Amino acid sequence: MDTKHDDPILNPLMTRIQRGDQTACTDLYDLYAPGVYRLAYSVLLHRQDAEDVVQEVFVYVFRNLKLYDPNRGQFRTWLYTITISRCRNARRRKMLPTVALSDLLLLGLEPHGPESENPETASLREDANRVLGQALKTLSSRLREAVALRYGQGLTYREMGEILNIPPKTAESRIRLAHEALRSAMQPNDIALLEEFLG
Amino acid sequence: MDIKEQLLAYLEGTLTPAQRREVVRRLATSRQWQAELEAIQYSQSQLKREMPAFGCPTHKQLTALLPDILEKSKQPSRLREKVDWTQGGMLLCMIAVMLMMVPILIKAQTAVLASTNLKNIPATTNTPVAIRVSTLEVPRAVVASSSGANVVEAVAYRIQADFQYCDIRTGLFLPISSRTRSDVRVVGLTPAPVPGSTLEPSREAALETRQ
Repeated sequence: MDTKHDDPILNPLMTRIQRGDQTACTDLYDLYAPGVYRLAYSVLLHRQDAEDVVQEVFVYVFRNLKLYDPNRGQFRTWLYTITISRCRNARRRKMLPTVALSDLLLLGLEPHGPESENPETASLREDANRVLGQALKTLSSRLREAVALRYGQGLTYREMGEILNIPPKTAESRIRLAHEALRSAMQPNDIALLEEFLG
Repeated sequence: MDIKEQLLAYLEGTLTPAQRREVVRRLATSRQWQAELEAIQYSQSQLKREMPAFGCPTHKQLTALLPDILEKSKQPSRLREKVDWTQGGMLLCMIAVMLMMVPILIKAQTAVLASTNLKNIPATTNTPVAIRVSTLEVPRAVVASSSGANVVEAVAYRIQADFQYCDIRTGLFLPISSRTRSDVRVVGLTPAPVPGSTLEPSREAALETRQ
């Protein structure tokens, strides 16, 4: 594997992983797993599915790290390409008539906020999450992917294009379409709730 | 570019100076352009502020996934990058043997069903549907049909993306077919299976219940 990484954090990690250092795998996971999870959750809108995707992505990454070529793009781009691919697989699987065990048991598996939040803030965050989740649900999966990459991960249209395998212009137009769809999806009450949370 | 595209590009700062001047001129003169800008600006600012925190996982949640990931990543991948001709030949032989065994297996299964006095499990009972279970949190789930008098207790197993269930009365592993996808009631969860454990105790318990 070529080790010409520009990233000062990633480079030593890669070297340690190549040497078989198990703690380096943990460090890499700690560094990138939250982003992968947020992306998967934003696309799938389901906690358990997002966790499954995180698991599949990192198992693949740790097994195939040698396939990553830093000359072809950033590590994050490679990681998110795998994540989007796994999310699409998960969505296909979900098209089968299955019953979500967590839904049946009402285990309350919605995402939690930071552990340090007080109950009031946590409640507002949950409400804001719910509002945004409902708005995102109205989008098609392609538009949701675009929104998650653009606003959830802060990627450029060029990076989005690389990940989604589309021209940057198409990525831009998907964001425009998402704005149009979200505008009608966000009801005035829900907007007020978001405003309250965001201050 | 239509109005919306131009305005989005204006907000993103990706317009050329000439295009930008044109948009500014339109915004100064057209009420329609102003309304469109307000609308896009609103949803964009909401998404920019809210999306980065959307679905934030807890540290505990991600930490719980890690041991399984590390263990699985150590196991060799089922997909081989290179298969030589010897391996390919062996694979073909194995497939041929398996195909030849299909009629024998069907006969054997019929015999087992007859011996347990069950003509056809899926047809006579309301069998469980595919249950999505997390391989991490709930490796298997005890499920039962809610309709009809014949409640079937079974253990659903996730085998990659597919599911099978094991009828503990017969000990048979059966695929979950479209015919069995009826309503279902989860009656409880079992702990994660211990490596090397079998279904025998549950099977015995079920037989006792029947008697």
